[in-house]
Amino acid sequence: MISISMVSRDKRFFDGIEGILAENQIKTDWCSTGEKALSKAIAVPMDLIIIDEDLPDMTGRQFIEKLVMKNSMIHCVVASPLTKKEFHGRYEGFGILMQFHIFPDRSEIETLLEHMNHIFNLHIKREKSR
Amino acid sequence: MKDGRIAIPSNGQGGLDGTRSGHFGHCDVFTLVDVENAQIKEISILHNQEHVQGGCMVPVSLLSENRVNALIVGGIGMRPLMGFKQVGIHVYHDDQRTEIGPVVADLIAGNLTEIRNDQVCGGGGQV
Repeated sequence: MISISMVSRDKRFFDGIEGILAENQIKTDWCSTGEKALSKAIAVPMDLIIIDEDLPDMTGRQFIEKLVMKNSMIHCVVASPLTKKEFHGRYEGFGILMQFHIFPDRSEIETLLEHMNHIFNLHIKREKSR
Repeated sequence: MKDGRIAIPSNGQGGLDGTRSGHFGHCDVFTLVDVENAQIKEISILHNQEHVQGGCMVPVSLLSENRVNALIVGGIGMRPLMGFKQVGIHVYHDDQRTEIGPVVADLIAGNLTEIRNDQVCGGGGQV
């Protein structure tokens, strides 16, 4: 089973994601700080991390830098208000799977599922949003 | 480098007389050079895999599975660099020459340096 960890100062940031992922047999959990998520990434097998860029103990960029030093194989999604160009400038070279808006909508989550299909060969079957 | 397998991201059909690809994730093939006692023993070609979104780690697995010891790049991002290091593949740097043969000769002769974390593309610095 694919495992995703969500990291944000407020759990409500990712309201709605958990349910959609659970529908696709993807296990999720949540961490309130970058340090807790980094500790978990070492201790527990994990496939993907979704972070809010504005964490209480570090920036999204600092989190990604620390994560790739510990385990570069974990994919990352960053929720950020930056423009596409600004986002690319900040995260170039870190292989970020995709950028979410703050409070991502269903279409963004479906795009994530499509990427995960390619990467993990999940063969996810789902209804397109209406 | 006395013994081991070198991978070079390559354009087209690759080979020792071919040219290097500027982006290892999108290269057509990897030219693999087997070295024994500081001599080239064998040249082979490894086809790259499709580069999907978020697929910058695919070459890490591909080259690791094919027992590569060293990779020569013109540039690389922090995440794949860490990936190669974590699977034990040494990453060397030459961003000047496009030909494969001379950089392979230089690596075997010990004239190429490993890329540092602060030489990565974007992220922590610029190549």
